[in-house]
Amino acid sequence: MKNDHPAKEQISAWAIACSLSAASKEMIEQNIWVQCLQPELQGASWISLTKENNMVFSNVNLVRVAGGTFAIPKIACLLKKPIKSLGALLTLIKIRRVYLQKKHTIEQVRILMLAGLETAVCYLNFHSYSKSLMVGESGKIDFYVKEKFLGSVSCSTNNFWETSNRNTREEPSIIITFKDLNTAYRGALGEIDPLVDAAEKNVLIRGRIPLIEKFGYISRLAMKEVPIPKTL
Amino acid sequence: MKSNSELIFQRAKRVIPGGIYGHVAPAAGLPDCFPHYCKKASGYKFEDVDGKEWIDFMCGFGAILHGYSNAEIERAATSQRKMGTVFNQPSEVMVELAEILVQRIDFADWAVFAKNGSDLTTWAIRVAREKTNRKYIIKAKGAYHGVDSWCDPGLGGRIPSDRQEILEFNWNDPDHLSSLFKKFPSQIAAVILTPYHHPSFQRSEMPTAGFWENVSAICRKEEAFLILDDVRAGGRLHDGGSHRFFNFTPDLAVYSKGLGNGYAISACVGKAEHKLASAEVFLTGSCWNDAVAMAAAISSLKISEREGVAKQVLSKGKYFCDQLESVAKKQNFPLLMTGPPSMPYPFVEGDFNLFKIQEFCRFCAEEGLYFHPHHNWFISNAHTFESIDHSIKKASLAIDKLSQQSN
Repeated sequence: MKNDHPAKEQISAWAIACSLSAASKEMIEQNIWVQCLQPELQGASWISLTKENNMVFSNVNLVRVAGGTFAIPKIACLLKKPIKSLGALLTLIKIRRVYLQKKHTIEQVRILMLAGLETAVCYLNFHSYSKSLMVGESGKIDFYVKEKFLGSVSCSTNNFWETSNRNTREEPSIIITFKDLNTAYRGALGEIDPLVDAAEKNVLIRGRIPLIEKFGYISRLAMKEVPIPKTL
Repeated sequence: MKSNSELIFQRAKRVIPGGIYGHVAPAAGLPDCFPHYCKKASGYKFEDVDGKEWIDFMCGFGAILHGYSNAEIERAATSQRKMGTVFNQPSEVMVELAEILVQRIDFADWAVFAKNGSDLTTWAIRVAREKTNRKYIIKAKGAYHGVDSWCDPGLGGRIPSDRQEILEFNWNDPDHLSSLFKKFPSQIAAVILTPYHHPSFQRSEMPTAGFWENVSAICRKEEAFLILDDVRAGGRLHDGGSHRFFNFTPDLAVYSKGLGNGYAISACVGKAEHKLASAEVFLTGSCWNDAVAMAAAISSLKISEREGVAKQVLSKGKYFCDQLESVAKKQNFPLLMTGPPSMPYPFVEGDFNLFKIQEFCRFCAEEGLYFHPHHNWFISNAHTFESIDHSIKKASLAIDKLSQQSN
């Protein structure tokens, strides 16, 4: 998945797939029974959400389904390994449930935060305008709710941005602290107003401001283009 | 209980995008300890809307050169205000202001006026394009020249063509500059530069020996304009313009911040040979003939000349920077004041991610010092040596607290 390079027209669909994958991985870490989604590109028009290729969507349908419109995956693939397909489907339903919760636990917010960060990271890595804004940037951004770690985004030496749910010892360039779970949930959904929420101390930002300005702008751009899989 | 700052902000966010935007947005500073709104200011102090008094080292982000509410300037402004502000025709003060600038700035033969730096940096590059019939403009990487789409530091609202004709070179690297002229022969209209490099969120860089000589020679040889963006530094390095401080001659220079001591005005001055071209480039604005701001600017310029304000703020700034660095050094806090001492940018050695400077400014805020962690500071002529000594003592306390926290 990491080395897959989506075509220009499938970046938003690919971001959805990567975001779902991040959510499923974090759920597994939290001992929630789900199938690990490992998306793969199948040419410029199709994306498989699983390694076994039993849940394959066209780009358009994946965006539709994430946006809440009815859309079906490739039937032939679905029937190839029906049990596994059912597992993938249940995984999608479980992810949706996390989004739809009225009140969230820290664990649920972590799932959504990692999913949201993965969407942004997909744009950082593959969206040409976003990439152009990040030329010369590197570093690590840590996200917290109060003192509890949620996840991080960092740039490796080969200029590839990635998310992590591990709180490593590597010194961050930026520390973002959400004041409570609800604000962190809004953050995961890309609903933070960078000026208002900072001024009202809902989000405390420390560190290299220019990096978070760029990252924030790109994540808002991504969230604008990519429907949140709230209505899967 | 919410503070007045917070209550006003709650109203603001309903009717103003972001509540407060631009360089004064709380997010750009330290929203957890800086006030959002100011009530009044006088001399080198201001009072926020919650009644806390601050010793100020930002001077309205540079717009205040002689101190807040300078009595002489206020008298001049009030006197003009009694007669009116904006009329159908310009007022005589416009001519008087142009005459003073032409007399004060050695290379200047004419002057035009607007309200902000951006108005005239953008206009200046258009004058260069008009005169040379060339399209490219060169600027230094990371330099700020205003809010227009060819140069603004924001990310939104851009289209690719906005910066197609803007080239960038590394500050203090004349070879890099030369290479751009080679790459685009006879196509470069102007090089626009600030007198020294003051990029955001980074230490300031003074020009290296020979830099301005080289840049001037390249522009002369290539018949391109050399435009000095003196919006931020004007009046704080030399009363006759910052080019005098660094000993070079631009074709055009733009001033704003220090010019009106808080009254909105900007000016562009130029050589006689560019006067006709400048008249071809349309220039106007609803309130750009504002006689009150012009009267304030005249008064401000007179004070600068009479009292040698640039020398004074440099000398006070040097005292401030030396003392602060020395106190910090004694307390093992590697603080460096970069750039000219009248407008120093604070930088903590090894603090690429800015955590240390942010913490330092947080502790200083507790002591009532308004030190910005991300922007150069400004010394005004209202700062006294006593006020500086007092501030250094407070900064020392802040460093103490910072060290205790680190231990």
